[in-house]
Amino acid sequence: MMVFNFRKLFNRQNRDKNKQNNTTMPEASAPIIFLPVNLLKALATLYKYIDTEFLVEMPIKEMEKNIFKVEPKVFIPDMELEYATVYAETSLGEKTFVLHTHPGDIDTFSAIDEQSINAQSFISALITQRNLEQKKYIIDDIRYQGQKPDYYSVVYYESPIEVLDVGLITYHQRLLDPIATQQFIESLFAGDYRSTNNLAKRLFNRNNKKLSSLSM
Amino acid sequence: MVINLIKSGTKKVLTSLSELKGEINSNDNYKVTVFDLTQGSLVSANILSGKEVEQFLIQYESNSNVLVKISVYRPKMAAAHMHLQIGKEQIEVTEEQAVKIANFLKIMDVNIKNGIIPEEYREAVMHIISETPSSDEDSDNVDSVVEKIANAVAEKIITILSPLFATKQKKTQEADNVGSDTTNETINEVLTVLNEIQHQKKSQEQPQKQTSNKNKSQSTVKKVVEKKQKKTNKKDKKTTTNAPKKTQPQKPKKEVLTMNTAAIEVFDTIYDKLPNQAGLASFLARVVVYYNPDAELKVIRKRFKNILERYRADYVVAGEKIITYLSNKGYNTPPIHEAINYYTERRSK
Repeated sequence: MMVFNFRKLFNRQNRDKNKQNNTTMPEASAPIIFLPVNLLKALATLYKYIDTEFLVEMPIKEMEKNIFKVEPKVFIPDMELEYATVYAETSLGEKTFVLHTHPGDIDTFSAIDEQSINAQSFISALITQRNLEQKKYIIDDIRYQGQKPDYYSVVYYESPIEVLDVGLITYHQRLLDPIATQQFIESLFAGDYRSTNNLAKRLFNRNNKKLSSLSM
Repeated sequence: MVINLIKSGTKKVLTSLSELKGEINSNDNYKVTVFDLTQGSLVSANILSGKEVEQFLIQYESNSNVLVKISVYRPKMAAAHMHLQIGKEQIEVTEEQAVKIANFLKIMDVNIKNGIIPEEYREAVMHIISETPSSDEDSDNVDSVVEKIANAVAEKIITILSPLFATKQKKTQEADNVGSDTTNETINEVLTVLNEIQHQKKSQEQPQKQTSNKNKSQSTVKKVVEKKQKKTNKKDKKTTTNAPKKTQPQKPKKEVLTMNTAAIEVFDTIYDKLPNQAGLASFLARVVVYYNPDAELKVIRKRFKNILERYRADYVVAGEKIITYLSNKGYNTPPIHEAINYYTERRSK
């Protein structure tokens, strides 16, 4: 687990920003987010099997003002997944961290993202599928309380991730077997690649070419 | 009954309904999903108000094999990127355009890898974008959408596949004698029409490249189709007066299409996914759906499967039966026999 001096980082961040702009930066728009990198690693594995957008929600703990720790607990809401869309309909509650993925290397939020997911989430982040596939564990963009922050930093930390709950997932208009989905997500986040692979074969249809090219 | 309650960023596991009291906010809505643990199956998924949750769960209270998941429901939170990626280029589109393109790609059975549309569909996609108004005008007109998709398909065929037609035509002339006169006449006719379209398209594009006059190109396609229909009508009259009457496939209610207008490239993609004999019904059904976007693939496939099983010794008869079926249903009739030949030829390679 990484040890970090939050206050020091925060002060330095403010100072650097102020140097650049010569203005006093409002504190509210400079979040520091601690994120378990294991989340991104699990999503990278997930992209061996799926070709749609995906969304996860995680609880947040406010450690100090504007310094947030994304808890290593993941909630997969009920959602419908398509190549370029995701509709989530259940929630973990207020003040959560929502991460969704973008197909290819589209690293900016769309207008729909801004109006819906970003407006409804306390912290909304995106990562591109390309980054995940290339194992570049870097968040591409963030919205904080619905706004683009003037400045933000993401600090990654290592931690195993607990799966809080897995909702009903509709993948390309097909409802996935809920029990198998739950097991799949749990083994995915537990890093059990053999089970993940076996369950993926059951869950995703044989037309998914990604499965045939799998070499696990 | 075991209840998994997701609330305020945590999961609470409750073992009885009484524990739920005080946990549910009557002003909130909840999604309540019930699982049967013995069957490992989903029993129900309902969106209930806070007041209704407890009442609803009473029926499961004494059932120890039930798992209930309760989480806060919210109106759908959407994330959708309205950028299309074709090859390496990103194009911003409106939602309406995206929907139409998605429909088009679905009809074409395009393999979207990593959300990237293959480069060869660029022209067709760009055509849909240019044909789809960014405002709300005629947004609900399904016919116009289908028409536009059809036009886009036509354009794609004209630009990409026209070199293939000649080869296909030669092959047909050499190999196939069954109804070859009429087929080749039609092929020639369609080729002329396609060349005409291509020629007109080029001559239109050169002087007016910057002013995108979409209506003109649309009307040319329409005119040519009309012209083609008139010609075929005339020919039909001639053949009926001169030739002795034979039992021919029932005249389709809609336009009869030839292989020339089929996107061979698309069929190749479809074929690759159905490489065995059993896939013929599926292949033919997809060909039909390609020409009839409103047709239901499953229904057609099932029907074709039955026909092919019954007449498997004779594909000519089976083809005729399929054509009759399509005509009766009022579908556009693609060249079924040619599609069967195409499929079997490719299989024998």
